Amino acid sequence: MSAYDLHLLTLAGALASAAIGWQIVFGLSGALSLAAGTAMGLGAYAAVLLPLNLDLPYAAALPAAGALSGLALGCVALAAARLETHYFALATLAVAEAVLLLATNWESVTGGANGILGKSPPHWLIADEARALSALSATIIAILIYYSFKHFIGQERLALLRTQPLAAKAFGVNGAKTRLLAMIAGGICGGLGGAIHALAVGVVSPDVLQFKTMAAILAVVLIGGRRSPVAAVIASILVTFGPEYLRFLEDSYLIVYGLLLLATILFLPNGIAALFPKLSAVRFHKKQLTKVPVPYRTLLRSVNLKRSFGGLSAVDGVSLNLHKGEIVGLIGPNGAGKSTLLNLLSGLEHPDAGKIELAPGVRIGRTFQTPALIEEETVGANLAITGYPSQDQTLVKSLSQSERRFLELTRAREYANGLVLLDEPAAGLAPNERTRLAEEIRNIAAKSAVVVVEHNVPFVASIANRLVCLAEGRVIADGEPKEIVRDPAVVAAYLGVAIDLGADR
Amino acid sequence: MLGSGYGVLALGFALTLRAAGAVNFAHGDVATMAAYGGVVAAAFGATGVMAITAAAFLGGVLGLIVAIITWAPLRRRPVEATFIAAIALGIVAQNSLTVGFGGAPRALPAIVDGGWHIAGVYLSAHGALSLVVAIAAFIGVATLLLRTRTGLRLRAAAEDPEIAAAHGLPVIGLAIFAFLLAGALAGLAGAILSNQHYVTPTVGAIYILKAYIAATAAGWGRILPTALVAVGIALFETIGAALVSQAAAEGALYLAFLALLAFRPEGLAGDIQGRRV
Repeated sequence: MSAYDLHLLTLAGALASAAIGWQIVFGLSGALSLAAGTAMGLGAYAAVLLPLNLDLPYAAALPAAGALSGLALGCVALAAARLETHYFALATLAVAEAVLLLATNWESVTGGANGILGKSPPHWLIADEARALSALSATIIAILIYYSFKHFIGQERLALLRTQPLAAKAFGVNGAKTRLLAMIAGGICGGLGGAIHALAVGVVSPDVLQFKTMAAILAVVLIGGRRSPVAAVIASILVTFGPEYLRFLEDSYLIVYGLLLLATILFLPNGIAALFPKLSAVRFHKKQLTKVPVPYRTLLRSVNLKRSFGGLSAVDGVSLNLHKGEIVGLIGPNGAGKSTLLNLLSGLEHPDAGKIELAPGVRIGRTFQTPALIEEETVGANLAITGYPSQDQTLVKSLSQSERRFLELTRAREYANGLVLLDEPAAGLAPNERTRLAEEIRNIAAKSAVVVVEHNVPFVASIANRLVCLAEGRVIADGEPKEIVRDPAVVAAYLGVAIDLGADR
Repeated sequence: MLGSGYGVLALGFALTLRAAGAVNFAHGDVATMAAYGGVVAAAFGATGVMAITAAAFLGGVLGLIVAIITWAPLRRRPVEATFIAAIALGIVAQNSLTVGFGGAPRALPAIVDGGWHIAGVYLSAHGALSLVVAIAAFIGVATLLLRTRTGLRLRAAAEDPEIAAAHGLPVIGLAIFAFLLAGALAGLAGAILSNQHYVTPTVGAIYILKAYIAATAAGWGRILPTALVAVGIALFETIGAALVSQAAAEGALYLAFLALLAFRPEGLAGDIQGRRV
C-alpha cells in the first residue's frame, strides 16, 4: 500500500469517526444537528493548539480533543434542550457559523483564515502506518461509543423517540436528556475524528469548519445508512477514495458527488446498509417495570386545571378525581377540551394553573387518537418498552387499523400501574371488535382506573360507570351514565336529543 | 439595500415553508444561481432592468426544479428528507457555479445608474429602486395571499392538506406554484444583493441562514412578519458593521438568536400553529 493510500485511509477513518458520531445524534436519537462538522473542526483545532500552546504531548492531546468537543456540543444541546426538529437544526447551524467566524477572526490564537501549522508529532506518530492505525483506533472507539449509547438508552426507547416523540414522552423517555447525551457522545466521536484529520494533514484552518465538512458527514451517513456504523466506515472509504478515481472529472467531481447524494436520498433512502442481509432478529432488552398494587382508593386528584392556547381557553377550571375500579367516560363536543385534559392528566402538557396529584406508585399508560406506534418495527419491539414478553415478529405497518388499536391498548395496559387513559379507542372498530374492547377495558378496570374519551356515546355509556361531559373546557355534568345522557345541559351542549339506554342496563 | 434583499429572500423562504411545509434549504442557492444568470445576461449587454428581470425569471424556473426534485417525490417521507435533499441540491448548484465561473466574486450591474447626495449621505439610485421593488414584492405577496382566490386556496392547502385535497383543491399544484413564486422572489433578491455585495458561488449558504433565522424569530410559517424580521436583521448587520466590524455584527446576531431560542423557543411573535413536530 502506498504512502498516499495510507494517508487517504487515515482521512477516511477520521471521517468515519465523525460520521458515527452523527449517527448517534441523528440516526439513533433523531436530532437533526448541523454541528457535526463543528465537532470535527473543534477536535482538529484542539489537537493542534493544545500541543502548541500548552505543550501537551500528542498522546494526551488526541483524547483531550475528543473530550473538549464532547463538552462543547453538550453545551449546545443544553442551550437547545427545549427545541425540536428544525429549531434544533437551526440552533446548531447558528453555532456552527459562530464558531467559524471565531476561528477566522481570532487571529492571535487560531492564525485566522490561513490557519496554523501543527507541532511536529513525536517519532511514533510519524510513520504513515502509525497514523492509519490511530485512525483505526478512533473509528473503533466511535463504534464502541455508538453501541454503548444504544444499549444504555435502549433501542426501543430511541425508536419511539425518533418516530413518536409525543408517545415517547408519555412512556417516560426524556427527549432533552437523550439529546444531551447523544450530543456529548457524538461530539467525542467527532472530536476524535477531527484530531486524527489534523494529525494527518499537519495544519488546521477554518476550512474544516466550513459547511462542506458537515456535507461530507451527511453524505457518508446517507450513503451508508443512518443506523449502521459498519456501513458508515464503508461509505467513508468510498467518499474519500472516490474523488481519486474520479480525477478525470477534475473540478466537476464535487458536482457528481452532490448528484450521487441526491440520487441516494431519492432512490436508496436507507443507504447501502439496506443492501446487507439482516444478520439476526434484533433482540430487545426487557427491563421489567415494577408493578406494585397501589394501596389507595383515589389514584388521581386534580384541582382547577387550566390550559389555554394563545388566549383560547381549552381547559378552564376542571377538577377531577379518579378512583380505583372506575371506568370514566369523557364525552363532549369537538373542541370541548377532552384531548387537552387527557394530555394534562398524562403529563404531556403542563397546566397554566391548578395541580395534579398522583397517589404514590401510580404510573399512567395511555393511547392516542391516531395510534402512536413505531411503524417500521415489530409488535414485539413496540411492546418492549413495557417489558412485556412478546416474540411477535409481525411488522406494525402490516397491521390493520383495529389491530393497531389493540396493540396500543396492550402497550398502555402493560406500561401502566393503576391508571389507563384511552383516546377514542373504539374509532374504526367493527361491532364484534367493540365487544372485545369492552371486555378488555373491564379487565383493566378490575385493578385500575380507566378514562375513555369517546364520541360513540352508546358504547361508552354501556361500559362506563361514570360519565363526565366537557363543554368549552368546563365540566358541565358528572355522574351515572343513565342520568348524564338525559341531563338537559348535556343534551343542549352535545347530544341534541336524549339517549335512551334501554332497560337492559 | 441589504434590507430589501434579505426581506425579499425571506419572503420567498417563508412562502414555501407555509404553503408546502418544506424547509427549502436550497433557497439561498437559487438566489445565487439566478444572480449569476443576471451576470451572464449583463455580459451579453443586457441593461440593469433586463438583468434583474432575467434573474427573477431564472429564479422561478429554478424554484420549480427544486420542487420537482426535492419536494414532490419526498412529500410522504419524514420532514428532514426534503431538507437534506435540498442541501444535496445546493452542493450541486454551488459546485456547478464554481466550475462555470470560478470562485471570484462577481457583481451585477445596478438596476439604474447614478444617485444623489442628500445631506452628505450618498443614496444610490439602485438602492432606492431596490427598496421600491422590495416593497412592491411585499405588497404583491400580501395581496396575493389575502385578497385573491389563489391566495385563499394556498392558505387552505397549507392549513390542512388532507382536507383541502378532499375538497378538490390541487394541493400539489398549489405547493409547486409556491415554490415557483418563491424562486422568482429569490432571483429578485439575488439580483438586488449582488450589485454592491457581489456574488460568489457559496454566498447562498449565508443568505439561507439569515432567512431561516428570520422565519424562526418571526414564528414558523408567518410570511409577512418573516420579511420584516429579515429587514431588521439587515439593519442590525449594517449598523453593526459600520460601528465595529462585519464579523462582530454577524457573531452578535448568532449569539442573540441562540439566546432567543433558548429563552423563547416559540419566537418573538409567538407560534400560531403550535409546535410542528
